Amino acid sequence: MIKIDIFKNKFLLYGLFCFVLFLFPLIVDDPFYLNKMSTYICFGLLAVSLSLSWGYTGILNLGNAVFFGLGSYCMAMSLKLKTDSIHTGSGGLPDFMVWNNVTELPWFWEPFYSLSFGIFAGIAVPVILAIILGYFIFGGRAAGVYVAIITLAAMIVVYLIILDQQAYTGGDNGITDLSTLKLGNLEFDAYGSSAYYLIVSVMTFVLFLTLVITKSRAGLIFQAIRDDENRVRFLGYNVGVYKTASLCISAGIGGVAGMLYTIVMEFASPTFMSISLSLSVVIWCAVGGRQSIFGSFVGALVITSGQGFLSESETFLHTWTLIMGMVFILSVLFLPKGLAGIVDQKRK
Amino acid sequence: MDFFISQFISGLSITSILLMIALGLAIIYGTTGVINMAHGEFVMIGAYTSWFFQTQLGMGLIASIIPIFIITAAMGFLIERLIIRHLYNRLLDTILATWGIGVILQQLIRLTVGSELKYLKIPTYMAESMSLFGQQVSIYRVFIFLFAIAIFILAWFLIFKTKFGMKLRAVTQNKDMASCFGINSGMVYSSTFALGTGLAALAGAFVAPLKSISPDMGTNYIIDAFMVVVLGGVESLIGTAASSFIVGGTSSLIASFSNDTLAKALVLVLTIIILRIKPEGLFTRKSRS
Amino acid sequence: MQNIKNNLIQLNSVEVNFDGFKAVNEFDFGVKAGELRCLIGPNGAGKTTVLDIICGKTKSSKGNIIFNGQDITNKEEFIISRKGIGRKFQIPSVFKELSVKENLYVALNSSLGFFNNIIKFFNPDDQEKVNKIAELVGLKDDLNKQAQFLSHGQTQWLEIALVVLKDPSLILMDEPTAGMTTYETGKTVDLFNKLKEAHTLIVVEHDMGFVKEISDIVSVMHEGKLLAEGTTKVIENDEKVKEAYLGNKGITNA
Repeated sequence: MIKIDIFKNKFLLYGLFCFVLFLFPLIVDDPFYLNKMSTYICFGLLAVSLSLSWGYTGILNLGNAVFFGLGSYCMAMSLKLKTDSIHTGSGGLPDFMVWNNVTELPWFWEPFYSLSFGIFAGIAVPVILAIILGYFIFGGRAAGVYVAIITLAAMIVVYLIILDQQAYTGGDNGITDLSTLKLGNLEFDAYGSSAYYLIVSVMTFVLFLTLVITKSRAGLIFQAIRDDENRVRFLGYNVGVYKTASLCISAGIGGVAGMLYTIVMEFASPTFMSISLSLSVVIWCAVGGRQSIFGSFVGALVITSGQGFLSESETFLHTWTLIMGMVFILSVLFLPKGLAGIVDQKRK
Repeated sequence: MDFFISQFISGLSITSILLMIALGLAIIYGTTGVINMAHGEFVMIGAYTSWFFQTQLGMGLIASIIPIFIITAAMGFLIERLIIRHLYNRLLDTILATWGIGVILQQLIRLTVGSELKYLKIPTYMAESMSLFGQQVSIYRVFIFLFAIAIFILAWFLIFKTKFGMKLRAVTQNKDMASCFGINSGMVYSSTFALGTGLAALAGAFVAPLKSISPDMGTNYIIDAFMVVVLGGVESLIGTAASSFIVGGTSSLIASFSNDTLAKALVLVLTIIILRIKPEGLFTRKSRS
Repeated sequence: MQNIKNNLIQLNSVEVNFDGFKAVNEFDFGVKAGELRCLIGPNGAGKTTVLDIICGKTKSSKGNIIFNGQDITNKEEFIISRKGIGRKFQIPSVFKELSVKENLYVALNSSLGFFNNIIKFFNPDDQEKVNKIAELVGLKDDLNKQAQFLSHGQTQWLEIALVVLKDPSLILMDEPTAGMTTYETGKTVDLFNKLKEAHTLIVVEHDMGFVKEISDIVSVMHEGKLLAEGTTKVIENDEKVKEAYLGNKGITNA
């Protein structure tokens, strides 16, 4: 009998995993649970985003949710401009703008009439933010601690601006009442299997793309930077560029995850770029194994679905969060490589 | 002129609260290198403890200052001994561990006291306003300012004029060498952490009557406090004080032209820019390392 | 007196100022191509700082550094590295979580830009080259071992391999034999003699026996300045050097 070490051949592992997820609606066809599963997959992709910048390149991005949030807002803006209820007030403005006495659609909303632009922006806007952050943080040779705090501060800045400019962003309430996503003739109802299949398809693409990136030369250089960035400099590499690039790829993935999330949640809100979400992502990666793309993804999936089971009772939910906090501390203390690290050890 | 005076005074008020919170954070970070992401939660604990003493035990604010400090410092001491002390060889992980501690503290409060907002009244004898430079100012805010100054002077005295302070400074400069001279570095680290968290709790106790008390109130303060600490550098207490004043003052100034939310955002952006130009902080000297 | 213009690398009145303390002070120093120059001196003399400013790790506040006719003063590390200067550190800096093979791949990689490297992968040709260099430094059997599990001497060798792989014309070595056994030190002497032909080396060392075996000319530093320069024989007998550093017993075997 031929023994295949499934964990060694990552392509095989990913392929099998994605295949299983494709089959999921055949086992569970309740639209509510399909929708929930879609959200967990979005969180999984967000964890992949952090894993690449933190686990592979050593950039502890405490503001990682900002990419997710920006992606979700871009999708929301396009979907909002397609709703019927937009025909309120003069010239067809989103309802919250009318309530805030806005008379004209702001210039930065205009391009979002095109869904293609919305999707493009959902990736481009986070990436542009990553470039700006990269220039500031890595250009200034900030140490690990500062990177962590500055990325957190940057997210809070974006969060505060969105909260403040409520006439243009919906403020605290976010952007709600979105139309269903339509691509060509296909309609993706958030509570149907079509949306689920869309999410899993994009997930498959992103997972494999990330795997290829980690196996490329740049992927190895990212890890070298994590281990000893000065040595990488003295080998002739422009470390600042590589770190920024890593953050940009991470931003793109986060943006995609955010867009998918808006499709299934049917709204965008400032909580999508909150401190607590950012912290949760860090916990998923720490527990699952931040140096493993697959580990981080599965970690997120397992933890968020576990949380989903308990959402009925508030007490259960608070206790769950308390336990997750403890598990997190334990993994920081004793399991720096997370659960994926344990699997690796057992294989050796 | 009136406008500037009132802005100045309100800026001082923000500064004094920031100073108390940042002081504890700076002492911990400066001495042990630990980034205490749970610092905001200790502020929250101080607020809740104050609420508990006042509403459940009928104690006054002034009377509860020392018990609040002692209780929270004891918690900090315990946490340092149990968790933090394992991470001194990987300081970046202290961000994660302390963040986890913050989560646990928040959840413990939610599960015991509940998540609903709690309110505390300003002590009646300080609830009125007084006249200062032609402006009406809340006596309570003046009291907070004076208290912050007093705490700062006490901290300075503790660090530069006492035996404990000398040990602390020795351990800060070189932990292992200090141990070779017989100083119990572990104890110094634990006590420093306890001191820092105790100070945070005092800040919380004083801030409590000004806004509502909630399990997540600490998150608001942590990022401001960190900005003050990284901006001021951890070499001197004066740096922390000056930095608190700069951050608090700028924040208040900007808020007078727009609003609190944008002020906070702009102050953060300015800090990020300043750190890009001078990564070691505004008040640190460059040294060989 | 060396002809400054012919030197591969020349430092002119360089100064490094740490908040008032001058670690390097009006320092003039030049090395010809193909030389193996040892830089010695008591602790705190500024030797490591000199290496730091050449490779760009520390900035100099005065003076300039000319390498191969180009001014490299205060340029960024990766730019200086690309011009052909390699640096080996006192505390070995290798990629601990990567395998020996992966460490070598990172150094071997000749295209340095990000966009090139995101679409390229390592292939069997690269494996060949890596095997050869691993053989040279005695790590052929440890290619798949994680770097953190290497012995101290092996880590030093790995770092030397990383530096040499880039084929720099000037190699800066900071106490390369620190922590090595006599056997390992002997192997290092052989390696240096091999490197000497095609590269220029500047070696900071305390092991005087090692210095005697490998160097042509020795420069002695003291309190940030150049104290004396010459062959080992000249240095041994220099009164200033005896007073500051070597004492009266001369350069003896370690």
